[in-house]
Amino acid sequence: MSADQTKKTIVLKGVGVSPGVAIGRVYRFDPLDSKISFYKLTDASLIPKEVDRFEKALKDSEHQLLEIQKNLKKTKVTEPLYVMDVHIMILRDKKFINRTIKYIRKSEVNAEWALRMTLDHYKQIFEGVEDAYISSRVSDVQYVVQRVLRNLSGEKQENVWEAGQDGVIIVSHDLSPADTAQMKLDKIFGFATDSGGRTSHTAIVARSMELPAVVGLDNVTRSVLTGDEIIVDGTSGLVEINPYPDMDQSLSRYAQKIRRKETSL
Amino acid sequence: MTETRTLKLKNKLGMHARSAASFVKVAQQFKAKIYIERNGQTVNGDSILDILTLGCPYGGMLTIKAEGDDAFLAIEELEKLIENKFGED
Repeated sequence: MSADQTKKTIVLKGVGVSPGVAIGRVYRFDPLDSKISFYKLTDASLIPKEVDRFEKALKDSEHQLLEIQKNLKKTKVTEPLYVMDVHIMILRDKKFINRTIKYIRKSEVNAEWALRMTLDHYKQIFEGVEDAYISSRVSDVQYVVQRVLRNLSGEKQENVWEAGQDGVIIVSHDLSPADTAQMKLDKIFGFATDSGGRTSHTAIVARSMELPAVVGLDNVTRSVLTGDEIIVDGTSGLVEINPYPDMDQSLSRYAQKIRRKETSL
Repeated sequence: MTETRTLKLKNKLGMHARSAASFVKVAQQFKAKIYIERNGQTVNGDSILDILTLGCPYGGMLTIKAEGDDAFLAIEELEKLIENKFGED
């Protein structure tokens, strides 16, 4: 605690989407943490290798999603299941695959770059869709592309449960159902994200897990580091980073009181 | 064999992610090639992204076409799916 006293206390206001108060340590979850490099192929003979890399990353992504889905079926959460069906279908979508391969061949770029071109293509098309609900589904394409990019980079997946600490508050720009599904939930106390609203995936998942969550904080990810102490109040929509020790204690009591109240119900 | 049917989307959310996924799942069970046409634009019935980009809302009309040996069966099943609002509201 003494080290934390030197850190600046920051209070942010967002949208409380899942009630309750949680106190814990920040885990900065960044789906695009892996360093992605985009480059032109120096020689056309490298094209088949890039296509292979892309296809392998697709397969790896599909395996992961199927595995997550399998584990998710064992829990009480049913909401994200169909979303994951959609994501798996996008991974298998021939148009999506062929377009990316075409970009690798024609533009002679690496798989990462080609994938970004495919995403941009779909972003443009979805923007032109008048129906707002359908138009917003471009986020599904985005989630899928992020996962494939992560697999292309060959980097190990984010493993919150390997952080080995209790009372983790996940801080992220946004979370997909697949992201949250991979997390060991008994160690997670709450969520705080930059974007999203009441119907965002983070909100839905948090409510179904009965974990406090505040979304729409704009730049909470830039205000925290993994390991920072944080309080997430999903009822008022307030998030406090490196709280004053007093505040921490009183809120801690408050959180306990709430928890007691809930268990006595 | 080619079968064509023009139908109206009756589920409130239109052809969104969940309904498009159901459509693809059914379309893939058949050998017949499935196409969806809306406002002069034709897409593959087994591509979820293609279907989503049609942007077919509640009350919108679309024409489904099946080509192949089991085209009739395929179109029957797909019509049932759409008429039953994909099991939604």
